[in-house]
Amino acid sequence: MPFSTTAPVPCIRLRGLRTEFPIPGRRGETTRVLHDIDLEIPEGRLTAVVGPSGSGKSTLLLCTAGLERATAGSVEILGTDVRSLSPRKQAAFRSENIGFVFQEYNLVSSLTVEDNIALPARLAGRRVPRARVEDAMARLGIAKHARRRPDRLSGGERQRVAVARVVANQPRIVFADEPTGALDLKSGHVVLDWLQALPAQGSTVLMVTHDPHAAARADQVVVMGSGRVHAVIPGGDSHAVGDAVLAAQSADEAGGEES
Amino acid sequence: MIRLVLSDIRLQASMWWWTLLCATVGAACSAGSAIAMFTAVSAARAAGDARMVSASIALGGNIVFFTVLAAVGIVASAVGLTLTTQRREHALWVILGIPRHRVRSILRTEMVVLGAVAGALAAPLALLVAGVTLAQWKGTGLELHGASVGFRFWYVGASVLFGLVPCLLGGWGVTRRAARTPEMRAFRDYSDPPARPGVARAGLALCLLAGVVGMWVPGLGLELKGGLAQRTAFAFAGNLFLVCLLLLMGPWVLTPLMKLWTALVPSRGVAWHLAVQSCRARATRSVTTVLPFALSLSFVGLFMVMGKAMPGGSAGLDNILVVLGWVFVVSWVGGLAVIALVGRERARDSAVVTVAGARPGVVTRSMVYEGAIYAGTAIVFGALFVAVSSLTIALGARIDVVRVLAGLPWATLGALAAGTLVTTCLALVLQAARVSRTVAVRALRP
Repeated sequence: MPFSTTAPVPCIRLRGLRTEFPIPGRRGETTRVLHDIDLEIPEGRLTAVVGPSGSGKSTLLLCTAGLERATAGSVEILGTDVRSLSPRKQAAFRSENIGFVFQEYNLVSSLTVEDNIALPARLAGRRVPRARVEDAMARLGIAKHARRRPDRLSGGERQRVAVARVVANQPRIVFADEPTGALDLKSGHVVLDWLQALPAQGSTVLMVTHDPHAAARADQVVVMGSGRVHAVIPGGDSHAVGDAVLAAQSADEAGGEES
Repeated sequence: MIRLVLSDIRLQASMWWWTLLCATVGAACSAGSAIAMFTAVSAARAAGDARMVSASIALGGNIVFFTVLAAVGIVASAVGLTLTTQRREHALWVILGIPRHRVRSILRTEMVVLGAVAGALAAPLALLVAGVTLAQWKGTGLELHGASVGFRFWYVGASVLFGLVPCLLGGWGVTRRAARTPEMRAFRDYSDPPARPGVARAGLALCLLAGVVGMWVPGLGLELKGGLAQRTAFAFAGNLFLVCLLLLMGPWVLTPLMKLWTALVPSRGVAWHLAVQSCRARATRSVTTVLPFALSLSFVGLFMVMGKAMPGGSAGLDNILVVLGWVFVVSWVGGLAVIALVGRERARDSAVVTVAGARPGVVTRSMVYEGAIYAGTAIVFGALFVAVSSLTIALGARIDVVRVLAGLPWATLGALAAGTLVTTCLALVLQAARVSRTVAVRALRP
C-alpha cells in the first residue's frame, strides 16, 4: 500500500522505486539502497524525510529529483513520468519546475551572488526580472553581497543565497538535502523559516534532514529506515519525530540481527 | 617526516602527476640541450675548432637558460595549483600541531622527491632530446665534426639536477606561501585576496622597464656607429625586455586584456556567460593558463619580425625552433597541465549548473568557450606584440612598417594561432567529456 498524505493532489508520486548501487571492489555485486518505495507527496506542503544515517533518505530525494538513477520503478512529478524523459527534456523540466538547496556546494563559484540567483532562469532561456532578484536578496538579507562571489561568503550566507535562488525563481518543487546540516543554529533557523514559507508561495518542498527539530517544522514527516518507508507522521512534534526515527532504527537493527 | 612526505605524495598522486610531468619534460629538454652542448663542444675541441666551441657554448647556453626558466615557471604554476587544492589538508596539519616551518619543510622535501624522480625519468628522454638538438644544429649549417650522443653516466646526474632545480626554484615561494596561509582561511575554502606585485616582482619589473627604455632609446632615436644593423639589434633587445616585462606582470596585463576582448563579444548565450565569468573569476588560473601560449606566440612573432627586418636576415620557424623549440615544448605541456589541474573545481561548478537544469551540451560548450578565451587572449596578446615589435624594429631599421608586416609569414603565424586554439579547446573538451561521465550529484557531496 502506498504511503500517502492527507492532501488529495499528489505532486510527486513514487511507485516501486528501487535503487541498487554496485559494491566497490566486488564485480557484479550490488547493494539495494531503496526497496520498492511507494510514496505520494502532496502539493503545496513542506514534507520532511528523516531517518538514521544510511537509511536511504538522500538517495530517495536524489532519485526523485532525477539526479541519481533509480534501478526500477516510476517517478511522477506534476503528472510527468520523469524517468521516461530524455536527458534534454529532463534538464528542461528541472530548470522549469525544480529548485535545489544542498548542504554545501550550492553555488557556481565563478558567478556572483546575483548571477547565481538568476542562473536557473537563464538556463531555461528566460530572464528573472531584476527587481525579483533584488527583492529575494533583500528578503534574505544578502543584498549587500550581490556582487560578491561565493568564496567571499560564510556558510550561512551561501545557504541563504541558495534559498534566495529558490525564492526568486519560484519553482513548483524544491528539493532540499540536509539544508541546515552545515549551519549554526541561527543560520539554520533562517533557512528553515524560508523553506517553511515557500509553500505559501505555491512551492512544494521535500526536505531531507537528520534533525528531528527541523523535520518537526514540516507539514508531514516521512520516516525511513534501511531503504524503506517506516511511517508517515504529521509534523509539529519533534519528540514524536525523534521517537519514530529511533523506532525505525531499532527495527532496522532487529532486522539486521535476525538476518 | 619522510613517511608523511611519501604518504602525502601517494595520496595526492593524481594531482602531483601533473607537476611530475612538467618537471620531467622540463628536465628532459634542459638536460638534453646541455648534453647536446657538451657533446658539440667536445667534438669541436677534438677537431681544434675554437669558433665552433664558442658558438656551441653561446647557442647551447641560451637554449639551456631559457628552457630552465620555462621549466621553473611551469613547475611553479603546477605546484601552486596542486598545493591550493590540498590547502585544507595542510591547514589540518597546522591545527593538529605541526609547526608551520615543519609543513614548509615537508612540502619542500616533496619537491625534492618529485624533482629527483622527474630527473631520473627524464634521463632516457634527455638522450633523445640531445640527438634531436644536434640534428637541428646540423640542419642550420653548424659544423659539428661528427658529434653524436652516446650514453655517459654523468647524463643521469645532469638529468636529476635539471629535475631538481625547477622543482626547488619553482616550488620555493609557493611552498612558503602554502605554509603561511591562515588555517581557517584554508579550511573555509576562502580564496586568497587579489594578488599584488611583491617587492621582488616590482624590482624585477623596474629593471626590465629600464632595459626596454635603455634599448629603445638608442635603437629608435640615436645614430649609432654600427649603423642600421646595430639600431635594429637594440630595438630587438628592447622588445625582448618588453615581452619579459609584460609576461612578468601577466596578472595585470593579461587579465585586463582578457576582460576587454571578451566584453566585445556580443553573445548573450548562457554557455558563453559561464565561460567568461569562470575565466574572470579565476584570474590567476587564467593567467597561468594563458601565459605559456602567449610566451610562445609572442616570441615566435618577435623573431619573425626581426628576421624580416634585419638586412639579409631570415627567421623561418625552423630557425626559431632551434633556439626556442624546447621552451615551447615545456611551455605547452605546462599550459595543458594547468588546464588539467583545475579540473576538479570545474567539475563541481559544472555539476551545480547541470543540477540547476542546464541542457546537455551547455557545460561542454562553456568549457570549449573557456579554452577559446584562453587561446584568444594569447593570440590577441601575440598579435599586439607583433604589431609593437614590427613598429619598433621598422623604426630601428628605418624601413616601412607596412613592408615588415606584409613580409611576415602570416600562414605560419596563423597556423600557430590555430594550433593554440585547437590545443586549449581540445584539452577542455577532454575534460568536459570526463565531467559529463561524472554523476553530477556525486561531485556536489561534501
